[in-house]
Amino acid sequence: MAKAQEFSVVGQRVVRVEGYDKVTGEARYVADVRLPGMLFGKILRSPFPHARILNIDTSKAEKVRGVKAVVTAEDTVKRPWGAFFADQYPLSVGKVRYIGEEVAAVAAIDPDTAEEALDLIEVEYEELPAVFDAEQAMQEGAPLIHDNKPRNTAMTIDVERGDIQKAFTESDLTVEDTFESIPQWHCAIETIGSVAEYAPSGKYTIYMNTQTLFMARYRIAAALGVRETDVRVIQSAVGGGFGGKSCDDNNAMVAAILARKTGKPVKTINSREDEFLAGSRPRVNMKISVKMGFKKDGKIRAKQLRIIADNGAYSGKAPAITGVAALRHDTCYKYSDVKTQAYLVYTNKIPTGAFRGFGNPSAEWAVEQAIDQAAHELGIDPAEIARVNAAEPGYVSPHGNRVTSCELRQCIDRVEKMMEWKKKRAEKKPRIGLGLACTVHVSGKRHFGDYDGGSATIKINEDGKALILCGEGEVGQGAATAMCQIAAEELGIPMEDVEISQADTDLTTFCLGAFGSRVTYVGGNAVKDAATKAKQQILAMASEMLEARADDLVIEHGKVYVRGAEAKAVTVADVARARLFRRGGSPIVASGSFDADSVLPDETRYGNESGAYNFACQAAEVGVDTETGQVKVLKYVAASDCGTVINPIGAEGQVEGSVAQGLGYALIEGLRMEEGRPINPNFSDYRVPSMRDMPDLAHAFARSYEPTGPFGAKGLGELGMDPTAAVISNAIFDAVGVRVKTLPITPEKVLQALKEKVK
Amino acid sequence: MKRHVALNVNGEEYEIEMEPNRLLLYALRDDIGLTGTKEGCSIGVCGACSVIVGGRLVSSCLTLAVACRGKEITTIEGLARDGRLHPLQQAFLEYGGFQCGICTPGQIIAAKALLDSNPHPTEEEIKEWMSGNLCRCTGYYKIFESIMAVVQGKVRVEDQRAREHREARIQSLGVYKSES
Amino acid sequence: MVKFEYFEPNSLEEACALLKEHGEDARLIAGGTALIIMMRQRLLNPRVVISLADIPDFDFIRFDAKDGLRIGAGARHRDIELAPVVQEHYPLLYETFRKVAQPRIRNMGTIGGNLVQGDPLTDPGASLIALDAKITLRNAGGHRVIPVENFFVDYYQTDLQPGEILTEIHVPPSLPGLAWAHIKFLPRSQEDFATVGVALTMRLNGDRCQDIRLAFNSVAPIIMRAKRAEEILRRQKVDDDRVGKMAEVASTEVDPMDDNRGSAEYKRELVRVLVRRAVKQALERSATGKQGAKQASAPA
Repeated sequence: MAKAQEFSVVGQRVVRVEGYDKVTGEARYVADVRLPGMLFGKILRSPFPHARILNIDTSKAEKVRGVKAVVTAEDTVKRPWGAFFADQYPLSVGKVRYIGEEVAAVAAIDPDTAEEALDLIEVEYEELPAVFDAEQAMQEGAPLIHDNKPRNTAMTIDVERGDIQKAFTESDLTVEDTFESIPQWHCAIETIGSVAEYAPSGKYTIYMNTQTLFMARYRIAAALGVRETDVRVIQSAVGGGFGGKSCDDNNAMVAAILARKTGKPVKTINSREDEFLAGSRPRVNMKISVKMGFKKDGKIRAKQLRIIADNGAYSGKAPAITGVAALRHDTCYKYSDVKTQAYLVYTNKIPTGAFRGFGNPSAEWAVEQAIDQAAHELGIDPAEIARVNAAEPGYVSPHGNRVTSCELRQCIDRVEKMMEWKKKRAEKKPRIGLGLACTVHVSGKRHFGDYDGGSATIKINEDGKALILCGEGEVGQGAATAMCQIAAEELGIPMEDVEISQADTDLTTFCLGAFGSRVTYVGGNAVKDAATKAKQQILAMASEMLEARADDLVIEHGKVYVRGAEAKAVTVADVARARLFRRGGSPIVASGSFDADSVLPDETRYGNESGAYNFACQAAEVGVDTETGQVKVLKYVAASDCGTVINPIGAEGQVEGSVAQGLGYALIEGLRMEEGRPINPNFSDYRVPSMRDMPDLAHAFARSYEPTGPFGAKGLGELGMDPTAAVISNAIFDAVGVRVKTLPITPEKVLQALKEKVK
Repeated sequence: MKRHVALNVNGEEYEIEMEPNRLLLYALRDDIGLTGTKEGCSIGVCGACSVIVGGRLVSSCLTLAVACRGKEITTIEGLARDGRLHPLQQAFLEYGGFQCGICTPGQIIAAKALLDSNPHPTEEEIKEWMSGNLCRCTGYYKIFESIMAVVQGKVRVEDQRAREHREARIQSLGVYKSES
Repeated sequence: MVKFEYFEPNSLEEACALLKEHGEDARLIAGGTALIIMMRQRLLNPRVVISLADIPDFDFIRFDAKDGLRIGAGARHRDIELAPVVQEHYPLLYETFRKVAQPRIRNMGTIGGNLVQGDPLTDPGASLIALDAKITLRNAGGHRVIPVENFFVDYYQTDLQPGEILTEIHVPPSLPGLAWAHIKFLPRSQEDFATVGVALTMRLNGDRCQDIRLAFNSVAPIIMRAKRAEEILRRQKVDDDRVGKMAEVASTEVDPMDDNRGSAEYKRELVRVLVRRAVKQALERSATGKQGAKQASAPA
């Protein structure tokens, strides 16, 4: 196993490459982009959850001074688009299916004028019966949201591996329960926004804060009915993504439509209300019935899931998310016999979608509580039941996922230690409890066709500095810094001699982008490959200059020398210049790529979804006020196996931020919906954790090395959020003996559960 | 009716013609071009638009620009001086007190306002004060550490001009000279 | 946000005159934290906005042992929180104001602006009611003084009449040894409006309660005083039984509604729990503060 100490840049606490711009306010976000002649776009949204559009009269709005264009579906190609199922339009065609859907849009000389004009667009609707609950929507006779989707069912999963009946028969204990999760909004402090330009040649240039540039380009092109290269997407600084900026919404499409109609650049920035109504697609809420069989020693014998997932009005990433909820956890522990049935169902609400964890937090909210319940019923320490079942290197899940590196047991050990788990359990105090849960996540996911790859180009400038051209993009998670570290490490040059470009679909090669905890692993491997190839060019040239065999050369701290003869060195800059400034010269430039050794799941969903799997264990100590139901998290610990830690500052930040979002999901967040309308969609009513809400946190990274990862690294970004809600619920159960089975765990629900327990 | 309003921002006077309904946030961002101040929630909750006006930390999204005449306004752009970052900026850099960076100008401005009035706050005072600035990336731990690092005097402010020297050295390494 | 004409009068007289002149078209602005939000959301679209920022000495905080505390309506929450006279003589107010929103909003929002907004979720009103504070309302013709507890009429509605400006808050002289408690119950984020807010003052004579004022925010369309509940304890011995009964009555007296912070039923339940806790806190404070205990037991 290689260790971080062997590396010179990888594993160091390096300052973010874009850090200076961010702490000085110089970083350019999409709202900061201003182009000459730029107009401001505003979107008219449906006030009804389900209605037929009979007529739209834009004439009054068009007459407002300063209004340059009003657009409706008539200004579009009326072609549906979507990540997996093409079922939504940039502007409603014929029908609206949720409150907030884009019906028309205005471009005007300033935002106030655009808003004024919105009020003057007259839309005649015929209201249709609507359905808001996924289970009701599946019933015969429920209002049909899409004509071609009977029983409003977007997708069904039905998978059985092994013999589930027999496995339950052979179980010593069976636990069974149903858990519900909620839509959670990303609440990135920056809302979704775009600035679109249209050139008469037919090319759109769109500055946007997307996490997934090339996928955005693909979808925008589809929605506009143009070729991919007719759309250039340039990533601005991104003010937080978490899955919400992976282009499943219509903001950029509308900006492009307005830009084309006006011939001017158009900026559309979501207001906070826009963002709640129809911006980032909130976490898919699910109702999960779980039944699990255990042997006396705690070993899992059988697992059966039935999931009803709420798709909302259109399918973004929810089909893939539902698949993760249905199957992913079977890679966390050693399972043999499993059965899972999942239904993804349309409702007349905001489409749900990708949010950090991608189905895992919902599934683990259910499964990890069932396991905890079994531990209590079997009289086994919850840490022990996790340990006996934990996946290990070489494990192949019932669905084909092949685990290479895995340090889950080490994570459990470290959590026990950090929490003083055994001591606290032995000295159990009233109304204070401990809970724990584990998770598995992927490092990239093969689901957009048979490709889970990435690519990057590195050029060595004539001053010896390397520039990485990469389209994965930086969304705040630190990917750019990690890639620069990987390049510096491989090239043997100092970190400050590596730069990374802005992601731009015209200038960088194809990348899938930031989702699925994939960028460090997949993108990092692509960067490493490019660096290896650039290094070969450096060495070949240096070998001429130093009159030595390339094999005998070393590059260190930006200098190339013959092993053992450091004094006679040339700098990488010398090499770059020598190679360029000569007859027939050429720059040092190399493209690298990587496609994970994963297997696209077949129609039975058997495959190997990722090149590497990441694991974590987390635990909480909570106190419960039994008079008010209030839960206080006293201490939280998290141990993660992400392989080699490339940048500890960044890795710690990922875990800390994930835990915060996980605690929000568990205890605080959620918005009341009435008839498909979010009540009070703002930061006053939808609260996210503040600094005062954060508990004492300790975290650790397992000693781990992923052989297929760049310098042993694998994914981390989502791991920390996956188990958190279950951890909290398990701790509450330990404290006061009740389980709240719907998220969030409000004090009101805790109090109610305590009362029912007394009955 | 539009009127001329003189705003003193980071020590410089700006004379702007504006409607009285112009919010300070937009005057800074759109009229003056200081886009470091961000808009997050538009209702004074998230703190991304925090600026200091007349010594007070305020939400520029809820402040009329016209009401700020004659007061010193400090934004994130006013912190670094003579090539040196403000200690808080340096601390946020070194201790990883940001990720996506959208809330960072507000966080740093809020922390500055705190330390201006209370250079040695307790941990609780920091947490209470900073709870008005939401961050969705960091979980706040590294923001807290960054501020504590300044309170405890652990931050050495590096002269950013050193960077220019390094770049100049690289520029003078040879090839262009031989070409000329 | 709608365009408006903006006035910055230099005196209250001038402000009253402007208000009279422009009538319903005009709105006053002080801190702006509430007004600007409503204007940005187009819930209010005044043609005239009158700023109170230039009125001299509109943000005073003055204390006199005989007269009590007088606060100008333009005083900001943060200034009240930090005023030494408030911290020394009115710990209940200090405790209340330090919990309002967060320092940035306390830096902006004024006490006058808070009260005239009539938002039942905000904190200061309940504590002012518990301290029997009064407010001065002025118009072009004169002024009137009314108790804070009579000021709140309905959800976002107060007794402020057209043409009137709230100019001053008067809190009676602080009673040494006054037992008090303030609970802001925040079950979600600590950075939130109260799910239930309780403000309590009690004048004690040994184990008897000479007088009591109990007020709530966030549990009714208005910030309210729970008079029926108070009667259970007034001039009675303070024991668990009576306190429990008072809490029970209070829970029927409030009129909460379901919202993101909890159901009406849960809020009633919390009132039952938090009233008991408030009394306990108040008694503990009174018992531990030596001087307070001594003075409180002196004949009234």
